[in-house]
Amino acid sequence: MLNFVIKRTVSMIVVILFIVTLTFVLMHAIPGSPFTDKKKLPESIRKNIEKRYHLDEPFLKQYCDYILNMFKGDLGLSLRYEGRRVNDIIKKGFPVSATLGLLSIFFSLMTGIPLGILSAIKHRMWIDRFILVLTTFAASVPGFVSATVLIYFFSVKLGWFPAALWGSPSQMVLPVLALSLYPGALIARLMRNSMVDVLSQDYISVVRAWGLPCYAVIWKHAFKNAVLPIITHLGPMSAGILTGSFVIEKIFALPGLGQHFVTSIINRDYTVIMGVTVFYSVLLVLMNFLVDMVCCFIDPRVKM
Amino acid sequence: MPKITKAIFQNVEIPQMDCQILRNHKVKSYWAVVFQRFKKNKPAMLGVYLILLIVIMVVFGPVLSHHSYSDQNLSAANLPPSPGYWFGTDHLGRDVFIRVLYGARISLAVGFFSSIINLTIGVVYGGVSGLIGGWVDNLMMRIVEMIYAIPLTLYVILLMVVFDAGLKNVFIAIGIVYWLETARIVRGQVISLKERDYVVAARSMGAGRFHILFKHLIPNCIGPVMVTMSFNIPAAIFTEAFLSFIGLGVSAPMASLGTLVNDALLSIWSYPWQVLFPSAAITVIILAFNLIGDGLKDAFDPRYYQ
Amino acid sequence: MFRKYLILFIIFVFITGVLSGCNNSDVLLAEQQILRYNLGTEPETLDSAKAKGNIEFNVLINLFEGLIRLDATGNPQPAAAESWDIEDNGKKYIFHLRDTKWSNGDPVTAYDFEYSWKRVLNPDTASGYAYQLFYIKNAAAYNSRDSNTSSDTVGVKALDEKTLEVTLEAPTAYFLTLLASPVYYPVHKPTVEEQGDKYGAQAEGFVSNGPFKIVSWRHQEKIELAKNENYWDSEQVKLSRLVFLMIDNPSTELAAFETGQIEFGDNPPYPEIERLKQQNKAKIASDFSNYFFMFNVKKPPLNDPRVRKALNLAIDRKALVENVLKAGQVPALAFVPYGLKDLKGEDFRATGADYFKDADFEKARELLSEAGYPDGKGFPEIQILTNNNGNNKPIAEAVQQMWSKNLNIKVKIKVQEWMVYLESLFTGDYQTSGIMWSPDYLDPMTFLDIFVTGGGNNVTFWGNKDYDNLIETAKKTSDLEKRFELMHDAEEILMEEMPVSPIFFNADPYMLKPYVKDVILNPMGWRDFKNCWIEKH
Repeated sequence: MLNFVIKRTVSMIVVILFIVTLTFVLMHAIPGSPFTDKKKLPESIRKNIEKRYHLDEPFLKQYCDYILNMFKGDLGLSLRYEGRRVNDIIKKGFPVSATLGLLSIFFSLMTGIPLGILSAIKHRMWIDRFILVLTTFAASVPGFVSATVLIYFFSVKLGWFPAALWGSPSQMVLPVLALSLYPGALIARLMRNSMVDVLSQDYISVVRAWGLPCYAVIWKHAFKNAVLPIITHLGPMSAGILTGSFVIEKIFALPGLGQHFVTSIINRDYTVIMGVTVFYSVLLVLMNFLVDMVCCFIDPRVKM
Repeated sequence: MPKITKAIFQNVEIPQMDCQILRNHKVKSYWAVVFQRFKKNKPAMLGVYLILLIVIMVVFGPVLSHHSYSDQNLSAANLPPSPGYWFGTDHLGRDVFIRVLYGARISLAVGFFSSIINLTIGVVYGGVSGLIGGWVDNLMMRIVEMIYAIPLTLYVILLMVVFDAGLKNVFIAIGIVYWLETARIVRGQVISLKERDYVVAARSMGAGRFHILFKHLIPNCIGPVMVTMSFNIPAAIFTEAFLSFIGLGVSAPMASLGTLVNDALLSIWSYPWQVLFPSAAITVIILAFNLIGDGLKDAFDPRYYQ
Repeated sequence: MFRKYLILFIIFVFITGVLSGCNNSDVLLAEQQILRYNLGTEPETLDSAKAKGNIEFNVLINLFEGLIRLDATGNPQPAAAESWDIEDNGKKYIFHLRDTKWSNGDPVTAYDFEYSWKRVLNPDTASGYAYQLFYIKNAAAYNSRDSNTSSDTVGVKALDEKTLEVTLEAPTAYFLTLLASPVYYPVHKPTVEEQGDKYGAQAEGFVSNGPFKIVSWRHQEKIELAKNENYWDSEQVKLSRLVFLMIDNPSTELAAFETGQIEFGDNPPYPEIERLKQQNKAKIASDFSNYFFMFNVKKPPLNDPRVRKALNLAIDRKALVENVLKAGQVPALAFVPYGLKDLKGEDFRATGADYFKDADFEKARELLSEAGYPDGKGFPEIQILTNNNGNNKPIAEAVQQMWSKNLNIKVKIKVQEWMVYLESLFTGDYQTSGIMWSPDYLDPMTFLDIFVTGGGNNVTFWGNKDYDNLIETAKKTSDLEKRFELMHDAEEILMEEMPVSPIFFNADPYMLKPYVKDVILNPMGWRDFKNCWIEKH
C-alpha cells in the first residue's frame, strides 16, 4: 500500500513536470502576447510592462523561475487581471466549479444507473430501445446548445428557474442539468452494457435458478460487479465534466474556474494558463488514484 | 419454488450456422460470422442505413438544390422554412438546407479523418508497445498513463491556436490528442495474441518482429479497433462542435455543423430553425454512429451467442 | 373683484401645481433605487492608471470624478475642476478645483492629481494607457526612461491645494475631453501606497471620489457600488445601489434581461436587435466608432489605388447595414464618423463632403479595367482576413459576396483567432480586413492620425508625405480654425488614395428597462449613472 502511494507520488511529480514543460513551450509558441491589443502599444510602454512581469528575461530563466516558484506553491501574478494572484483565482473559482461538477456527477449517477439497470433488465425490449435513443439524444446535443435551450424554456418561457448567475440553489438547477446530460447518458449506457454482461454470466443463472426474485438478483449479486466499469470511468468522466464546465460556466455566467480554462488561452494570460493546467492535472491524477483505491476496495481481484 | 411463468423463458435463436457447417462442410470465415451477427442487429442496421442516407444526401443533395452554400441573398435573410427554402435561410440569406448538407460533409470529414489519425497513432503505439514488451512496454504505458492525467481539451485548444483554424488543422489537433484509448486496446489485444500458436509458428519460421506485427497481430485487432473508431468519430464531431463554440472550429467559407449551430445560437429567440436543423443533423449522425458501434461491439464479442 | 378672484385662482393653480409636482416626484421615484447593469466580463483592474477598455471604464466613471465629466453629447462639463484658464496659446491650462472629498472624507487636492498623473507616467507603474498622457510636456520622455527627464520635469504641477497647472507639448484642442477619461482620474495616495500591487484588485479599502463608492467585488461575479455621501454633488445621485454583473454570453444576457435579473444590458444578440427595437426593449445610442476595410498596400494588386477604389465602390453598404446588421448603423461614404464637432459646434462630417457613391458598381468595374483587369480577368484571388469577434465574420462574408459578384473576381475568407489575427495585421501578413475603430478622444484626429507613415496602428503600410504634413501641422497649430481645414484636407487625401474603405458608422444598441431614467450614454460608449433614477413601476 505504502509502496503504491510512493510510486504514485513520484509518477505524479514526473507527470506535472512533463505537463509544465509542454504547456510552457506550447504557450509561448502561440502568436500574440498578453499585451496584444487592437490598438498597438507604443514600444516604450510595451517594454515597461514586459519588464514588470519579467517577460523580458531569457526563456529558460522564466521557465526555471516558474518551476521553482511552483514547487513553493506560488503560481505567480495574473498578467491580465492586474494584481491578482493565480492562487487566489483558483481558490475563488474552484469551489464553484467543484460544486457544479460534484452535483452533476451525483445527478448523472442517480439518473444514469437506474436507467441503465432498467435497460439491461428489459434487454432488447422496446423500453431498452427507448432508453437507448433517449440517452443517445442526450449525449449528442452539444453542451452549448442544450444550455441555451434550457435557459430559453425553463427560465424565459416557463419562468421556473433563474437564467443566470450563481448563489441560490435554484440557480444551480439548470447548469447542473445541462452539465449532467452527457455524463448521465454515458453512465446509463455503460451500466446497461456491463449489467447485460454480468446478467449473462453463469453465477447469475445459478442464483436465478435458486429462485431469487429479480430485484434481489440485481441488487445483491449483479450490481456490485456491474458498477465497477462505471467507477473506473469516473476518472476520465470527471475530466470531461471539467472541460464541459467551461461552456456551462460561460453560458450561465458562473464565477467558476472552468471559465479560466479557455479564457486564459484567449487572453494569453500565461501564468493563469499554467496555473489552471497544473491544478487540473494534479486534480485528475488524484482522481484516478482515488478511483483505483475504490476499485480495489470493491473488487479484491484488482491488485495495486 | 418460483412460479414458472412465460416471462422467465426467453426465445433462443436456433443456431442455424452450425447446421450449415454440418451440411455444407464449409467453414464460414470469421468475418462472415461477424457480418451475419451484425446484420441481425436491427438498431445497428438502422445506424448503417442512416449513415448511408446521410452520405448520399451529403454527396448528391447539393446537386438537387438550385441554391449554393455560399450564395447570399441579403434581401431574403432569416426566412422561415418554405417550399423554396426547405430549412429557411440564415442571416445572410443563404439556404440553410444546403448549409446543413455541407456542414454535415465537413463534420463527417472531421470525424473520419481525425479518427484515422488517432487510429494510426494508437495502433502503431499500442502495437509496438505490446509486441516489444518488457521495459519498453512499461515505459510506453507509463507515458500513456501520464497523458491521461493531462486536461486534453486544453491541448486541443492550444494546438488550434498555434496551427491557425482550418479544416486540416482540426483533423490534426483532434487526431494527435485523442489516441490513448486506441493504443491501450491494441496493446492489450497484441499481448493476448502474440503467444498464440500461429504467431509462434510464424516466428519459428523466421518472420521478423514487424512482419508479425503488421501481418498477423494488427489485422486481428481490427474488431476492437473498429468498435473504438465508431465511438471516436462522434467524439471528434463533438469536440469540433466545442471548438466552434470557442471560435476555433472549421472556419468560413466552410462551416461545420458545430459552427452553424454556434453562429445561429444568437438568433435562437427569433429564428429557432437556424439552430434546430444543424443540431438535429448532429444528433442524427451521432446517434447513427453510436448504434453502429453498439452493433459492432456485440458482433465482435464472442460471448454474444453464449 | 373679478381681478381679485383671478389672482386667487392663479395662486391656487400655482400652489396646487407645485404641490402636485412635489407629490408627483414622490410617486415617480421607485422605493428601491437599485440598478443592475450587465458589465459583460470581469474588469481587469479598477486601478485607473492601468484600465484600458470600456469594461473597466464603465465602473471607474461611476466611482471617480476627474477634472471633467462628459455629457451625453460628449461635451466637457466642469467636475472636480470648477473652472479653468487656458494660457500660452493653448499650451498651458490652469485648473481651479472645487472643494471635494474622497469617500473616506479626506479632501481632494491638486496634489492628488499631480501624484496620480505622474504615477501613470512612471515607467515602473507600467501603465498600458500612459500614452494618453503624452500630450503633457516631457511625459513621453519620462515614461520611456529618458535619462534627461525625471518626474519633476513633467509638465504637471500643483500650485496649491486647489490649483493645478498643466503644460502641454503642443496646443491640443481636445485636451479637455481627454481629461474625462479614467487614466486622468485622481487616485488616493495613502491607499495606493498601502495596497501596492493589490490596489485595484479588491474592494477592501478602495477609496474613490465619484458619485459612488465600492462596497464589494466578488470576482467574476459582481461588483456592488453604493451612493457616496461624501461626493460633492451627492444630491443629484438618486441610486442607492449600483450592481455590475458579468454575463458574457449575449443570449444569456437577453434571457437575464427578459426575466428581470438585470435592468440594463449592453450586448443584445445582433439578430434580435430589430425585434427588441420593435418591442421597445432595445434602443440605439450614438457611437462614434467606424468600421472600415483596410488594404495592405504592400500586397499587389492592392498596391494600385484604382484597385482599392474599385473594391471600395463594389460594396453595397446600404444592403449590408439594412439587411444584415440592422442595428442603426449608417453607411459610411467618408472616413471620420458623424458627431465630432468643430469650433463652431458644427459636425465635422456634415461640413465635409461624401467622397464617393455607395454601391457604384459601374465605376468600380471601370476602375478595375483601367487597372488592367477588364471584367475581373487576370485579377489574382484575394483573401479577406477576419475573426470571430462581434459581427466581423458576417460582414466579411457579405463583402466577399459583393466583391466576387460585382467585380467578377475570386475572393476567399480566412478566419483567425483574435490575437493571432492581430499579430497577422501588425506583421502585415494579410491582404485586406475589416475592423472597428473606436475613438480615444472626441476629435477627428483620433481617426486621422492612424494613417501617418509608419504609425503603429497603420497596418495598411500606406504612406503619403502630404498627408503626414497636414496631420503634423494640424497637431501643432494654435490656429484652431485652420486645424479643422487641415483635417478635412487630410481626409480628402485618404479617400483619394483609399488605403482604407469606410463601411459604416457604428451605432450602440442597448437594452434598458423603460423605468430606468437619465442614464448618460456618452458617445465613447461609457455608461454614467450619476443622475440615473428608477421610476415607480
